[in-house]
Amino acid sequence: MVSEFVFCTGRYESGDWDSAPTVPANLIDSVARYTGIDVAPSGASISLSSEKILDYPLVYLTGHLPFRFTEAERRNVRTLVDRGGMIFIDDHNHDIGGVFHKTAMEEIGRTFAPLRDLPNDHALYSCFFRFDDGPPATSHELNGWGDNLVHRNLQVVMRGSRIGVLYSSKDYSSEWNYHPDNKRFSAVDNTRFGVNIIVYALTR
Amino acid sequence: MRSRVSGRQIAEHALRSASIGVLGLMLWQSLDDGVATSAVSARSGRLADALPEWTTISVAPELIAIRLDSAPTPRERDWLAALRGAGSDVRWSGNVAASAIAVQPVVSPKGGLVVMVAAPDNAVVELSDELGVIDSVRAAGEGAGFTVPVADGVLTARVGGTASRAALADSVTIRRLLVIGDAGWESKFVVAALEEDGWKVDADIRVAPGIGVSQGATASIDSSRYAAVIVLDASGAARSRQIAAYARSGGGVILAGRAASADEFAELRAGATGSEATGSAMQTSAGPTTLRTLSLVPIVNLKPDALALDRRAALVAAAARRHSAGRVMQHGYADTWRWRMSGGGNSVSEHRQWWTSAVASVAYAPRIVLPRVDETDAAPLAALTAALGPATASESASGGDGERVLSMWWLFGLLSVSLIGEWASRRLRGVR
Repeated sequence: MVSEFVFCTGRYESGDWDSAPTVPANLIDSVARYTGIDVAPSGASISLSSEKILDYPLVYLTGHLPFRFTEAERRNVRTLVDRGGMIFIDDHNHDIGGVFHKTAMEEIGRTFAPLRDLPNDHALYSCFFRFDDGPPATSHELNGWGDNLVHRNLQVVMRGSRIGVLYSSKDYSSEWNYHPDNKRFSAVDNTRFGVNIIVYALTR
Repeated sequence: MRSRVSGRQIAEHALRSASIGVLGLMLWQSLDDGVATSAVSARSGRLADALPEWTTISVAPELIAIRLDSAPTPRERDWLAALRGAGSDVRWSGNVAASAIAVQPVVSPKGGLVVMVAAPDNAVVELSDELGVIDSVRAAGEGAGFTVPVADGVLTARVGGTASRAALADSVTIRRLLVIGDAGWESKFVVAALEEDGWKVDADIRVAPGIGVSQGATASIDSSRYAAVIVLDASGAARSRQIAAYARSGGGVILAGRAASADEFAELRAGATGSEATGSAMQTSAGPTTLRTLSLVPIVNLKPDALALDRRAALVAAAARRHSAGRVMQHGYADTWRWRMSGGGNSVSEHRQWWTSAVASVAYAPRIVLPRVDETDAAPLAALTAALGPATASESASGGDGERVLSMWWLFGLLSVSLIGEWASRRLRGVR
């Protein structure tokens, strides 16, 4: 068995978990492109209600619709985080007045703890690429879509000194949802922050 | 009639003579106690009282025979040795349990003690400290082992009536650990497990060629800084010379999983690595991941100086060897993080405990000698044999205190009968 990193998208019952289908391939491409991490060429989508999810210590969740865990999903994600895993949740609406954000806040508070702002000098922003100003802004924020805000911080639930739940209102799911081959048209690869999230999860 | 009276008088004379004779014998015996005792004996229960008696009589006993059903106290043993030194032939017999106790500090930030007790197979071993009983187990094979988080004062292991006592002779200095590996779940969770157990961990995690995520000052690998170096994969090969020098100077090294496959570790490793066996290949059952269901890179062609520590079926899963002054452990368990993440309810603590035990088995930990505790007796039977020689087949002294007391009672009875008989005979024939 080869011990490689497999990018995992979590499937949850309440919403549209697969709203950003090319994000996994794009991030896998970036990890392979910039790092020496042994990464599987294809991601996996695993149901949060299955204990199989515990084989994937980093789980990516996104969507536009109401975000609720079933009891089995709640139990498994809580176990995953308690045992040292990390969940990255991104609001695909980029709207803090939207239904995803509101229900996600409630669900995260119920399952883990209330979110709090992550300082912009946290190791997440320097563990591979440097982001001196904190989380990079997305084109959706800069274009005034969604809630018309540029969110200065990501939010987290900590487990000890490490991040257990990372929550983004910045809509990286839209920002990174394109075919990896199209990176060649960008002056700066906007998935680099995704690499940092993966490197952080793998090393801290 | 005269002859009848005469015969009766003769009998009375005889009884009187017998009384005088018995009195004389009793007087001789009582004087002999202080003059001419040649052999004495006692059992375990009377030994404390008998020793002062044997010591204070004017002439030392020629033979002291003791029958023991438990080891004498160090004071009694030393006393017997002194009597032996004074010229008495001291012999012992009986069934004293062959037990011994050893106490070692655990090389772990959480501290604790490892207590090993040698005891006969199937004997009940009760471990206590100065505050009370800690635990009791039945010995299997050649003894029993205890891991004690904390203990107060002298530890005592009781096996039958024999108590072995020992105290911690030294404590250890705990230094940092260095974990070297590629960025991945194994590196992350090994560091996490060790930190959760209290170790201070430096990490050198390779993310890309020439790019790493470092935690702590990892440039120099030195036994003045590190208790052990844990190499999780071939990424450590670039520092193999440093690691080998560190081991030669006394440091502990763990070559985990696939790390030993690197040729650069040929000098250090306990054996070569075989083909990886996955969980299904090991015919393990479905269910939570355990150490036994992890993929295994077996150790093959063990070096002559290597010792197999753990086997899975016919495969060697872990082995250790000395490398000059240091210790090297090689284990073939790949991706132990799966055990932590996908194991049963206690998998996090089991994974953590397993790793800290592995580290403790090789860690370089300078000892600090603690103040000596005198009230110890780590191996009572061995000490008894050293002091008095091996046990004899049986108690060789005959008679002894008990028999002497008995004979005095018999003599007193005989004296009474003689005197009463002689007196009664005279009164019956009308003579005062």
